Amino acid sequence: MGDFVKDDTVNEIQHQRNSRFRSGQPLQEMVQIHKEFGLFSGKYSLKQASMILNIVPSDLDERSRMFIFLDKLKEYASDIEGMSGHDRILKAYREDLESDTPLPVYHTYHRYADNRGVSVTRGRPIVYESQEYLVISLPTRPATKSS
Amino acid sequence: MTSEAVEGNADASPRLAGFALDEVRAHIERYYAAKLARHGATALGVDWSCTATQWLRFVQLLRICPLERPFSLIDLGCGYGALAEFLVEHHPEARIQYLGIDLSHAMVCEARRRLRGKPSIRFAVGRNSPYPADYAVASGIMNVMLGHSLSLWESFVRAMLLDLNRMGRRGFAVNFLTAPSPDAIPGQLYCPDPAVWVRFCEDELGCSVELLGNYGMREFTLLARSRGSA
Repeated sequence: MGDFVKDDTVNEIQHQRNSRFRSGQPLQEMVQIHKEFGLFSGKYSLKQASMILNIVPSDLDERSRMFIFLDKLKEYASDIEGMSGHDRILKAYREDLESDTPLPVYHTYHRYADNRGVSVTRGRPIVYESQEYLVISLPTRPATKSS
Repeated sequence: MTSEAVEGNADASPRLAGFALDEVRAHIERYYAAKLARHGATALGVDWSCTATQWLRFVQLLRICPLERPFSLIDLGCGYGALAEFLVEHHPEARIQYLGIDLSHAMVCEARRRLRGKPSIRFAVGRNSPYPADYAVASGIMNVMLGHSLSLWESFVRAMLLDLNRMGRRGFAVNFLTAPSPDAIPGQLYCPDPAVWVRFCEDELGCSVELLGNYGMREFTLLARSRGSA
């Protein structure tokens, strides 16, 4: 993401996403939103869903760049062969929110050099919590000097 | 109906009259005009966190209405017309005569601009309508206390519920917060016990009340049906 948005924006969006999908009332809210409007059914792109959920950078220039990145995820690979990173994220949200026992979702990043695709796993990414999460990790790389 | 007719209705409900409530309304008008100027015609501009939660509220409020049959609807505190837009987008087949009313002239101007050219959708500046509709709804208009005392705010809530009951011949729907969001300033938001207003609507307004509270949000919705309405 480094070529697309600033490091601060990466943190800001990660915080917003994790807050909206954390356990308890926020997750229940997301379950209801998806149930009512099919937000992650494929009817909306990730960019559109982010706009509807207002998970966007506060800086308007960064917002445009974030939207470009979200659309660019259609060209990224994922841990499911033949499925783009964009669609993998939608599938992960959809399956989680439609399950009988939805998990909170933790959004994180990994080095593009190590894994070029979006990955979805289960785990306990917050060391002081016993809560299990669905973990969605996006590939990132540091900004190049020209960007 | 014209906006002038609505604006000229200041004395329609004598129980609502009074300098203190007029002050509250003036304060609300200034507050939301400032919000609109800051955030534009967005969910944030009417103090909601995002479009999705706003839609979720509308789904609950519209449970009062028979969307498969024609009806008239008053949207009190319509803001920039988000409910009207929701109806156009999500219920294009519904046959609704919609009137949005808001204290804020700036909000109504924006609503008219956004929904221009739709003859069944009208907006007016004012505090209520002298002409009832089949149903009346209000979303979030009683949440932000703006520093007013609890007793004054509850007088305002009573006034709003009386207005809604009068304007909705068949019934009305309204929502309240149950708990403030973690980032809210303590004491700024009105989070009542649902039982208080359920009782008020049943005992004082004579309505049959359905309480909706399990839709994933820190709030509840009251569906108050006039007894004897179909």
